[in-house]
Amino acid sequence: MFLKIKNISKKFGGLTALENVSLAIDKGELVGLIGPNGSGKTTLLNCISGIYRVDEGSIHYKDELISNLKPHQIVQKGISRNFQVSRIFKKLSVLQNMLLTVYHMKRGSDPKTKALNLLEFVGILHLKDDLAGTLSGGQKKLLEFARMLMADPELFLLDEPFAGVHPLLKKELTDHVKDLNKEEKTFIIVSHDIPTTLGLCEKAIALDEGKIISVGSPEEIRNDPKVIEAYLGA
Amino acid sequence: MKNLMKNLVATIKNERFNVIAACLGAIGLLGAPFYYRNFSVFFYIMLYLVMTASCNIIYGYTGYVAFGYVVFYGMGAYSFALLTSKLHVPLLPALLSGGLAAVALATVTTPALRLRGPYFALANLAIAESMRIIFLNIPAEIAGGSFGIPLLELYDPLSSYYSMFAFMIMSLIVIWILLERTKFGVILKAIKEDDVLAEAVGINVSKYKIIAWLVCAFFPGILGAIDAWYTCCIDPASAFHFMKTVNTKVFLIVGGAGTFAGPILGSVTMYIANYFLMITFPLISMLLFGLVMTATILYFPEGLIGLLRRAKHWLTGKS
Repeated sequence: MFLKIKNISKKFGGLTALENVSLAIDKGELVGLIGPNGSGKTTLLNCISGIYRVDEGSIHYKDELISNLKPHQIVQKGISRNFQVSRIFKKLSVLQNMLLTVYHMKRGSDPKTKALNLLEFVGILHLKDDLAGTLSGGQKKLLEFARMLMADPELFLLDEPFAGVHPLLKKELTDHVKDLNKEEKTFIIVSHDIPTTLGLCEKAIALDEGKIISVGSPEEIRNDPKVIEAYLGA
Repeated sequence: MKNLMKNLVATIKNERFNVIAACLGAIGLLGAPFYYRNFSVFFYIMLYLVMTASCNIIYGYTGYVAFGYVVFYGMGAYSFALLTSKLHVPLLPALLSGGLAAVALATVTTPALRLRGPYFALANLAIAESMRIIFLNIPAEIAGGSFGIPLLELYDPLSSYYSMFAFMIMSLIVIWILLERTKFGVILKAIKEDDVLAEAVGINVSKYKIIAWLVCAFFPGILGAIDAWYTCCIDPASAFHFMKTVNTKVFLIVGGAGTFAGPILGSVTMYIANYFLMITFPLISMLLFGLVMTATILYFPEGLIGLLRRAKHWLTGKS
């Protein structure tokens, strides 16, 4: 199994953010993770990427236990993530933001050429020497996405990649995701943009109050009464 | 007037001008013992220049406020004094031992790097004070107690002055290469800005913080050793004096933390300003010094370097 999450729980004081969450994802899958605010979607991504330590349970990636690893070790295993609100190094140049990802890695022979190619791929090559803090919101999203690609990940964890993004840019991002998915890259996409997410993904998982309430195809998720209830209330 | 300022800023930004200015400064420092009787001023400018530049690694580039930074200087001074006076170790290895003693203490205190902000600052201050009290209470026949260790047989102000000069040149080159010409400086800047993100893009944040901590400890250790040689006397009160940390921080902030040129600019201008304030207004010199510090934090948080940048933007009309 490519990614196997088994009975993980995460608590913050008295608040249970995740409770006995288990799921399995195959290589090359494009999975949408949906749920109302506070359902635990971002917490789950934080647990997979090592930002949070799980209180109980385990996470295996390519049959290797990763739930006890630090975030930088998880990146080196081939898992990259972005953040709900774009996080970039504002005081570094766009190119430096890209190169930081590969400074510690032994992969690739010419990181600068690769960084320039990726910036061209996402359409912000002309901004390579600008301070990242001067980019617009959409450009920051593209930089984050390009930065993830620098590490050659096999598993992408995308947290709200379409939030606050212009429709044209949203299409651009979804096209990039589709292209990469054709290369057998695996995605877990957390989003409140249900139509875009379910339109893009082949499998969806719905979370509510830290528990998985439904797993299935986008069509099954759309029609699941538990999901409808979670969004609309009882 | 605007044109004059424009030309001035352009000259300062010119690389050739900087090289010429550095060479002239070096020649001035080399000749100081022969044209200025009180050349201690230049000795201490060089000492603070290196102290500030090395403190910049952990404060300006990594974001840790080390309120007890003087502890590394004190460790270096005591290591040198003990080795030369008690074990009669030759000068060069004794000087190097200063750096190694400081790095050894930094290694022991690395767990403090888990703390951030005021917690780290206070823990660091506590370490410095603890070391002062430890050296004060070590039996007098070993470390001299409160009277310290006299090193009169080593008296050689010219040799120690030129050792400081050589160490300053070497340190500035090493620090410049480290921070401006290798990935190390960029990684530290990234950690300072957002250490969670740095970790999430694959940087081993703990490792780089520890390296920065050890590197920034080495330089004041050697400085303490050279200063002990220069003054020929070392005692707990002066070796671990809080004002050495304060001066380092003030010079760094006024010059511009997080830049290579900031500490150089800050330590030279502020040390000279402080020196003349002490001569001219001995009773209120510290008050005036404090006012400069407060004004810098309030109005020029990026220091003199930031001020120059602002002037450049104003003159070129760029935001």
